[in-house]
Amino acid sequence: MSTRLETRTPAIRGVTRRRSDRWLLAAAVLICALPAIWGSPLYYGWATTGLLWAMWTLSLNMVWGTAGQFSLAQLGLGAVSAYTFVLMLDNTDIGPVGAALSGIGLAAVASLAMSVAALRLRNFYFAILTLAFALAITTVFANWELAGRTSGLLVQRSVLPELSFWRPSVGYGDFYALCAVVFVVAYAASLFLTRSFAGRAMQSVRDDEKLASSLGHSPLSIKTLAFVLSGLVAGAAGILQALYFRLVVPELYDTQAILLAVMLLVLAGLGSPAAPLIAGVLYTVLYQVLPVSGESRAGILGVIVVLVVVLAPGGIASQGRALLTFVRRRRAGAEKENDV
Amino acid sequence: MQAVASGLFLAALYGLAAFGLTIVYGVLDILNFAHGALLVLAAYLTAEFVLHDVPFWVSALLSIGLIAGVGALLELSVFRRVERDHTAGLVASIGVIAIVGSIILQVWGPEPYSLPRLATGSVEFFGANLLIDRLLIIGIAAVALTAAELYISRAGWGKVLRAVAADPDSAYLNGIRVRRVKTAAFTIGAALAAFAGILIGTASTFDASLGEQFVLKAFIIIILGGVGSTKGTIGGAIILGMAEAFGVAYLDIAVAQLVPLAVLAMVLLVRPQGLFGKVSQRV
Repeated sequence: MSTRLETRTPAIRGVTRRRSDRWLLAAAVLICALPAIWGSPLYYGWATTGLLWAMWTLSLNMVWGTAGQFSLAQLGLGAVSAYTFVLMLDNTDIGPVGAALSGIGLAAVASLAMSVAALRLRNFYFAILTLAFALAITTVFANWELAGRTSGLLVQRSVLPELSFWRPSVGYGDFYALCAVVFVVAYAASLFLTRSFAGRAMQSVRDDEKLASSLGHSPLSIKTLAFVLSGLVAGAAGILQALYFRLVVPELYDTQAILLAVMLLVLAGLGSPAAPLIAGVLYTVLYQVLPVSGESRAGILGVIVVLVVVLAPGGIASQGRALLTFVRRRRAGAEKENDV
Repeated sequence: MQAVASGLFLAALYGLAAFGLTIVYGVLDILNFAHGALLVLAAYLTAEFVLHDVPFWVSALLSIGLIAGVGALLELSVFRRVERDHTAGLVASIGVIAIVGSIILQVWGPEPYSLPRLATGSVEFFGANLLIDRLLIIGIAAVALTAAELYISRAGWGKVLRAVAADPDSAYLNGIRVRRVKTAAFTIGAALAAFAGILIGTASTFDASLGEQFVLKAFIIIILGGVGSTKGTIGGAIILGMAEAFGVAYLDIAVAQLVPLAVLAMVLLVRPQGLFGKVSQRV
């Protein structure tokens, strides 16, 4: 699927972008710190859901934007992790940290198993098989007695203080801080990965698989690595989401949620390192701040997505880049005139 | 016998839903997730007309016409602009789903609707109790799918459609107006989705989520049958319908729900070109 939407950051440019990475990371920290200025539970709630969607899109961007594999399985992997986390908490003495690690680990194993089967397929076939995987996961949980069937499972309230790393009483701000730290770490790791040898290999496989193969990369291994790493991020997102809602239900990972993640990422700028940040802000604005009914929100997002796909295929990130280039050129032109 | 009849009934509905999708994917090369949204929109439109005392068959024809028009408009305004970009087409179709879903929820709300049944009563056949309206749906779908298949394989315009699906550039060099054919293909696909949606609405209640259930089944069918193969689509629909019906009859309901996904996974892993397809570049 080497297409217009997928080639925002060609591999060759990756080497020269370390400075922009530092700016992006600084922007991530700044955006994450914003709700602390007001300290209101409402803003913490908005920002937490924004961060959760930033995590989902980060996971999708790793596998689709960077490695070029249009996977619809990310929320299914998140479901594996979230359900494992809650089931381990309820049925073992492993503790919240152990349960969280087990959940994330199982999501990574599931993505490895999935990649062995799916990565031999291309385009349409890959997308449909990953969607089928995600729906199979939710169907299993919706019918499994131990997983609470369609009612899902409640997360024990006593879990949160044990996950708090600086004080025992956990408020909205503390949980938000936990989400922010996890997101910033995952985001920094993804930026580092994009510029690393493996990340550049992923981008070259995405841009031209045959060429990448002839350069000595193994497309299957590279794609598997991308899939497993994105599974780890999806697993972390699933656990944080379960903790935030204090609940895991199959509805959280259904087709609507999967398509929402796709729309947010494309709108933000598929393949752009800034996309997860933009997607998180977009979700917060569209789904929390905008004073419209729940039914209208999806419609508004749909209209914007169609317009962006038709008129600005690179999404908001590419428009931002174009604006920056324009401003730089204007400034350079003005400096030249002053010199003359 | 009951399971066979249920299987044929499901195959009829799935076949109609998948046939339009096959045409759109074959000709436009777009993974049109919005096919299910058009299907469910047609059912709601028909219900609205029926609520305003318009006779059912007139309502159905009006809805099919309207949805065909929506399909043409979508192709001209959205999908034509992204025709060389598969991913953009797919994402645009996801945007269309969100728009249609939002319209449905705002106009009709989340409550389930239903359409008048085609017939009431049942008949006994080899010990099985068969509902007459379901038998009618099987008959209507069989006639419609056979006619559509014959038209595509034998009629002149059907051959044009196949030529564009096979190689649009060569078709263009041979004087075929490829753009018009693509618009027509999308319009026909939308009309077939509408037809399927209306028939589904007569057999059971429906809500906004109906489209996504059927579009995934439709995708499974076109993979089963071999992408782009209309005959394969019919074969795939029969296999999936039977697998589901026998799954429900003989397995636990939870396991039965996984049958279509298991069938898809098996086919993709063992024979990715589909049961009736040839090895293709697209796989």
